[in-house]
Amino acid sequence: MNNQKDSIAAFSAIKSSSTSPVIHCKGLRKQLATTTNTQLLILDNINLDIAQGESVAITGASGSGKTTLLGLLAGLDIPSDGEVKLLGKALSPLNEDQRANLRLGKVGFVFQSFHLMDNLTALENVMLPLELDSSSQTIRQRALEALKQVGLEKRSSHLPTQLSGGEQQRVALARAFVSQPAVLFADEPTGNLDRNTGEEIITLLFEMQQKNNTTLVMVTHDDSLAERCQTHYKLVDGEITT
Amino acid sequence: MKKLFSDWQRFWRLAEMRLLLLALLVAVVAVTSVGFFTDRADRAMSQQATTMLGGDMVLVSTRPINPEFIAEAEKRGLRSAETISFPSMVSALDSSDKFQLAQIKAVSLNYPLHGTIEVSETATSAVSNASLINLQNNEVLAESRLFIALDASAGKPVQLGKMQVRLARFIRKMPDQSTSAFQLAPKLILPMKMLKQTGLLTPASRASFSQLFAGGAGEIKDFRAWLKPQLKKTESIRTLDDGLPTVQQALQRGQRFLKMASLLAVILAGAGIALSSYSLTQHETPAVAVLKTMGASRRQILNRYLSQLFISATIAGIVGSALGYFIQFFLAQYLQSFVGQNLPSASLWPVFTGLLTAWLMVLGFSAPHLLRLINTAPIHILQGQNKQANTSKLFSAFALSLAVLLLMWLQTQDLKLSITLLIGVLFAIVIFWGAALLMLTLIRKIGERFRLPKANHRMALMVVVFGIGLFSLLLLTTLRGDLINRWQASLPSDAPNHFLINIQPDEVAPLQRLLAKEAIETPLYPMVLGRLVKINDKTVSEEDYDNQRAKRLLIREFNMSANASMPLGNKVIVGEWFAVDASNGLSVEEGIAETLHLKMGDSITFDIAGEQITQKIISLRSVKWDSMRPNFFVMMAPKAFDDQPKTYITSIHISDAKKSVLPAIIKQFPSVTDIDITAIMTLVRDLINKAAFAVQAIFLFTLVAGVVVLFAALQSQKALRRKEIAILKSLGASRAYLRRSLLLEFAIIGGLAGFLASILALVAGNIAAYLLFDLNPEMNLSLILTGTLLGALLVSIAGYLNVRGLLSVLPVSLFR
Repeated sequence: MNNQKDSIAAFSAIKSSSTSPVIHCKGLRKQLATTTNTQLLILDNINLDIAQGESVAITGASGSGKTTLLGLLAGLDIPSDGEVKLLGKALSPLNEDQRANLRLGKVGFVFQSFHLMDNLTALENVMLPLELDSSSQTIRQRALEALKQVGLEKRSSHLPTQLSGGEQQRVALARAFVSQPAVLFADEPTGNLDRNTGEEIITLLFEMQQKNNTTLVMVTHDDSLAERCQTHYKLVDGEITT
Repeated sequence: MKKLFSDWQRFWRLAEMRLLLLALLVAVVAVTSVGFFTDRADRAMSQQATTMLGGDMVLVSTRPINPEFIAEAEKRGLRSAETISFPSMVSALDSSDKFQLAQIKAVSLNYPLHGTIEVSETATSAVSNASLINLQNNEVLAESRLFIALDASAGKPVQLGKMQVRLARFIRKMPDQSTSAFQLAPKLILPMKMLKQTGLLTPASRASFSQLFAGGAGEIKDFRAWLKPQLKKTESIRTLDDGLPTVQQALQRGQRFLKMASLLAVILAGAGIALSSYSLTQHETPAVAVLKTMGASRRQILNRYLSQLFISATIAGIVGSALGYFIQFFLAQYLQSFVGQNLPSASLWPVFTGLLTAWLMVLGFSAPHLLRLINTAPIHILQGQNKQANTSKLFSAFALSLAVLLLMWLQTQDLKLSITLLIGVLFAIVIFWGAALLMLTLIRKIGERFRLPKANHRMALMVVVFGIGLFSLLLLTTLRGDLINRWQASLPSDAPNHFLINIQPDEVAPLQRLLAKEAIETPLYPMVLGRLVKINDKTVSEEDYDNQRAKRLLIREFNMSANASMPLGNKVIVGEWFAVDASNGLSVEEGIAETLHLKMGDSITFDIAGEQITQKIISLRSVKWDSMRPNFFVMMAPKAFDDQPKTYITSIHISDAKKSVLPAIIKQFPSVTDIDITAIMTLVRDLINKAAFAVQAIFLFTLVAGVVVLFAALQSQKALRRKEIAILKSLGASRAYLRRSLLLEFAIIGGLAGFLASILALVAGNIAAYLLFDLNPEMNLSLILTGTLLGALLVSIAGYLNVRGLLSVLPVSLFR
């Protein structure tokens, strides 16, 4: 097992030798307190380096810690031990707001359940990340352009409840890419979609990722989908393998 | 700013936000409609106050003013004027036989010292200032009501006591012309020099003597300081600083009550806001988590929600104030007989109060909920959890209590009253809550086989909030109509409907003969005024008693009588009634004996017209006060008043067939005053009706607030209900079945709220009936039926409207 881990670290190190990694983690560990006051180990000694523009898939069985790892890499949660660097900045010393500020305009998310705001139109949902960044200009035009890229410019004034699941995920993609993020985290992006729609979304996702040279970190159950990424990590019992 | 409003438009699409705004709007409309009305009434009062007294200071007495006081005032360079007021009948001299009780005000020629008497030729023609000096020998001034009652026009002669006078002008405005609601008789002003000729003022007359003084502020202050220690119990000083006359105090109390009633709507609306905010927090938790993944800071989240709350409160404050302004017009129109015809325009203060109310409500009821959002952990969005962050319950409770306290203070400006109201509301909530839970459990047990909905706290909450709204409305409905009807119905059909007072001793025999001719038999009671000065030879004053009623009894003069037979409706409880020829002893009403701690055998001294008379208590009586007959706290032995100056009083029943007897009495005995109880009853009924209706109108806001809370409660469980409906549909439940179940649930909630509200209204109404009118409890089943049906209907409609969209939810939504 140790040999395997060492080989992953070595592999990541080789890939990122030309430029500094966009995501770097070392000795990452996460444990949670249970109701019986015992500690449950979720992740143990995770070491990763992910380069700019790289696409990475993380797979694993339910409860293997995939989502927890994604949250830690994105700075949504803090590790029990170890270090994560996102866009060259160590996350541990940062407080919640500083971590949020690091993500602002540079990190995008795509969720399994889309998580569009049901009181906002498709266009308003896409405008949201730009509105959070006070330096953003021409917000409306950029959001419309993003909707056009996902083929939904004609449905810009529709509320999420008026859109199909596939359309909602397209809006979510537009929202994730509108600020041209350096990193995109995707959590089971096709989990709530039928096969054909899922395929369409994934094709679109990779197209946009390549076009923007965005680093993609995707959590999925789908091995065939994982194989389309440049790197595929498997999580087993909180430990990572390739 | 543009961004703020475009964000607000986005939030407006959320049902929770719309409900929050609606609840705010209800609260602001309730507060401002009452606020604008009371503000206008207050301004009217302040305007009146400057000319109300007619001078800088008034000395009022039930006896003629001591001439030494007047001389001293003149010595100090003060101007003074004199008035004497008393009620008397005025009758037309034509064949119409019309007559009317009037409040006669005899005034010296320099009256008033401040302000003017405004008069006109007709009730509506141009107004000019009256000069009493210019009045002809037999000319008097009168309010238009007297002209109308006597079917008279300006210049018409009428009979006033022994004198014929001409109603020269219509009084349009005059000092001390307090609001008309409690002023039973129209005013008639006559110059003091004419008073003697009318022969109306006798030593036993019940008149009010006033001396008005005017001068520099310093002189008035010094004179007052000199005068005050010398005053007797029957004399008092009135200045603008000494408070307002009774009518205006009553008006102020009424205004305070209206404000309290509106406060109930505010508190219920607050519950609606809290529930809407809870739902909003639930709804927005994932949204906030998503925003945080995008990089939103805690400050941005806080600004986003607080700014929306602030905008909503401001919009509700402005729109609600505008609505409140229009509503108060109707209120002022309806209550114009209370507050006068021409109210000044309102200030902007109620708008500020409305805005402050809205801001306080969002800060106290909503902000603590929404503050949770800033602590939402973004990781939860990945974990598929909709877990709300915790905030300190202590902080929420503190914010809520502070907001409620400030809202109450804002409305009542009386901390004690606010706390009493809060305790009352809490008590009602506890009673409703307990009863609702009990009844819901009972219904569940009884109706298990009918698949009735399971009782839970949220259902109980809906019963409580809606029930309180209904309760206040039903109680007012009961008090407004039912009680007065029952009181009137409890009186026998031949109960006296006229009081004859001010009958002079030499008029007793001829009056009795006249009444006997019309087959009207009634005892005439002699009446003297006396003030209690000693008990068992020990001088007493109001300082000797803590009880407010006892204090009042020691300040005022008693109406005392003496008679051989006991008045009807009286019953001796302890001791024995007087012998026919007795000249010693007292019979005291049991209530007053208890208040003043009097007992059998006590020696009591009264000051009657300057002479002290001491007698022992030989009996205690119970008195039926609402018998419509003359009743007295203290009665003396039959011969006790033989040497005292006195007038007589009686009550008679005049049927429609015998109506002609009254003009005959007034013509033959001009000093006799007839008080028409039927007219007073009609007036009292009208006043109670109007006052209760006004309060009821305010309580309507409470009901609307109840409906908003109901919607908010339904909204907060909508997600759960959607899931339930989807599951039931997937199991094969039809739309019709689901519709039936929902309607049944709402009907149970509404019916129960209505049932409990009507039961409580009935209990409270009967307690009021017993305490106020001495009526026996009555079970008004129609009220319970009406309340239950009304509640079931309202909640079913409101509930169904809220959830009907869910009936079309597809079972497939469960898989998303």
